[in-house]
Amino acid sequence: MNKVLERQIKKVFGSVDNVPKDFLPLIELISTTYDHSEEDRLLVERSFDLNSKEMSELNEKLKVETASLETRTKEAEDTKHAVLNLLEDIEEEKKKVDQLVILRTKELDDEKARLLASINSLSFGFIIAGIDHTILLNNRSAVELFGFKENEHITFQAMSAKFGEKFDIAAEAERCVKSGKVCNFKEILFEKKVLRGIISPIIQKQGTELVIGYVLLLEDVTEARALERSRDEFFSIASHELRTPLTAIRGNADMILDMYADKLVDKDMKEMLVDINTSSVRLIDIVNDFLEVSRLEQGRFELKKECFDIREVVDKVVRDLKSMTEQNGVALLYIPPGTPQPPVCADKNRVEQVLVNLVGNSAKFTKAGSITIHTEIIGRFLKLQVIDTGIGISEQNQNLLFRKFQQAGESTLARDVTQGTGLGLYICLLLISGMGGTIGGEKSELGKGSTFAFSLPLFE
Amino acid sequence: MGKIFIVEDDQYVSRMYERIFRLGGHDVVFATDGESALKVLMNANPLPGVILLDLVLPKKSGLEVLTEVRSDTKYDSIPIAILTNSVHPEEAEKYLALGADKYVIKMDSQAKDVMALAEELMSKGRSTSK
Repeated sequence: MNKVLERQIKKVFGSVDNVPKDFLPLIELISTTYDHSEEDRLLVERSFDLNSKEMSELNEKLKVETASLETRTKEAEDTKHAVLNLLEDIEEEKKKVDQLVILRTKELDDEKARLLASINSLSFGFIIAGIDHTILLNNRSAVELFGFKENEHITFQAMSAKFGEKFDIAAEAERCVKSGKVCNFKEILFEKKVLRGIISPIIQKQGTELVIGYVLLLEDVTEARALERSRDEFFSIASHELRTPLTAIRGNADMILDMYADKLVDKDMKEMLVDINTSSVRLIDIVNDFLEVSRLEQGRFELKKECFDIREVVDKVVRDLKSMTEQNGVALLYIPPGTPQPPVCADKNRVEQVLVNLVGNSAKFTKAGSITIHTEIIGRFLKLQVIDTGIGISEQNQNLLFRKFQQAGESTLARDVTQGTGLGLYICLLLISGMGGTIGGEKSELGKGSTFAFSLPLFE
Repeated sequence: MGKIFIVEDDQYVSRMYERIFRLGGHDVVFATDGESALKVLMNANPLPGVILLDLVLPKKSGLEVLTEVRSDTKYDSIPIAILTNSVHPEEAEKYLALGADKYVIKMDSQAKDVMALAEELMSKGRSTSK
């Protein structure tokens, strides 16, 4: 029985047993009701407890959800801002790019204008053609050169027709395009003109190399050639005219010294005659060197391609010059290598001339010791060295000696008027380069001596 | 020995040669241009022992003289030395092919060497008479 009810009953009836029987069902009912109400209460209480827990859980969840939503909203907001910023930036960037494009376009236009002006101001004809010979650009000089009307656009056909049979421009251009190499034409006869031409391929280097057209340069060298010819003629005539009186001066001085020696009793008179003779010989050397330089510089000479053993030349030069150096107390030596060296490919006489010059030069500046010739093979070349124990010169001056009209005195580059023409080594340089070799000073030390060397290609 | 025939337009050079040749005991004949050279040769009796021929000459050049002389079999036996101051030494072969026997650069040769050469040519005669 419910405790509260029991207490109430005890209050009224003293004990439960004292409750009259008639009341018992009622009490029973009340008790049941009590119990039910208690159950209900507990139920309600429990339910309430439960609800409150769920609620709190839900609340927690809600909080979490809310927080998450807030975060996401913030993120979304941030993203939105970022996107907006980005859009702004892009817009700004685009503006900048647009401005840059305008600037660059202007620069390009300027550049193009400058280039066009340059091309137009060139004195030689300038033509750019595509691979199919379509002429893409030509300058005014080209128009003038071909005798077209001003502002007339040159077509390949018209140009080709102007050249006629003397110069097959199509074939030459195709040769250049196919080979991808620059083709040079020293002399193109065109109407009454002499032209010099260059066809140069235009190569695009993105990925594989591709020839996309060619540049044709044409220079009118008619006047230059005429000038060159008249210069040559002048030189020949002047040189010939100098030679004739020199022959008489040298010949007569020679003859007096040779055949009238016994009559030259006056010492001064004899000395004067010797001076005339020496000077005339020197003058003859100068005229000869001038002529040689002129000829070599203009390429008006032929260098033979002979196959020979360098030893033959060295032996001959040593034989010829030994007495001259030994007179000065200087030994002239050639120590040939133990094994024979392969032959060189060069002009034998000219090689001898160069070696004579180098040994002669060493002899001039060597008062004691020796001049040694050394040969060795380096790659596809033979190197010949002339090593002396002479006064030597500074290394920087050593190679200046190979310039025109250079001579080294003791230590400085001063023109030594008593010996040579200052052209000897320059001639050597022209000769050796013409034979495909190199020449120069190798090393030199003041007071200890110099080494000069040249190389010649081996015979293949 | 026959006479030495000098064809040379420069009087100083020809005088120099004349001196040394006379000193060497030789008789010398001169011509100062191409045309007179051919005339002298035509009237020569006996024929000269050697001709020293310059190339740059008035009226007819040394080349023309050489060609005409060599085209006439009458002069076949006379040696000819080209004595020049030409600045084209590479042309020597051309003259030798045309029938000259020597090609000498005057400026580079001593007078006595020229005389020795003339004597040698006269005594040996032409090596390749055609």
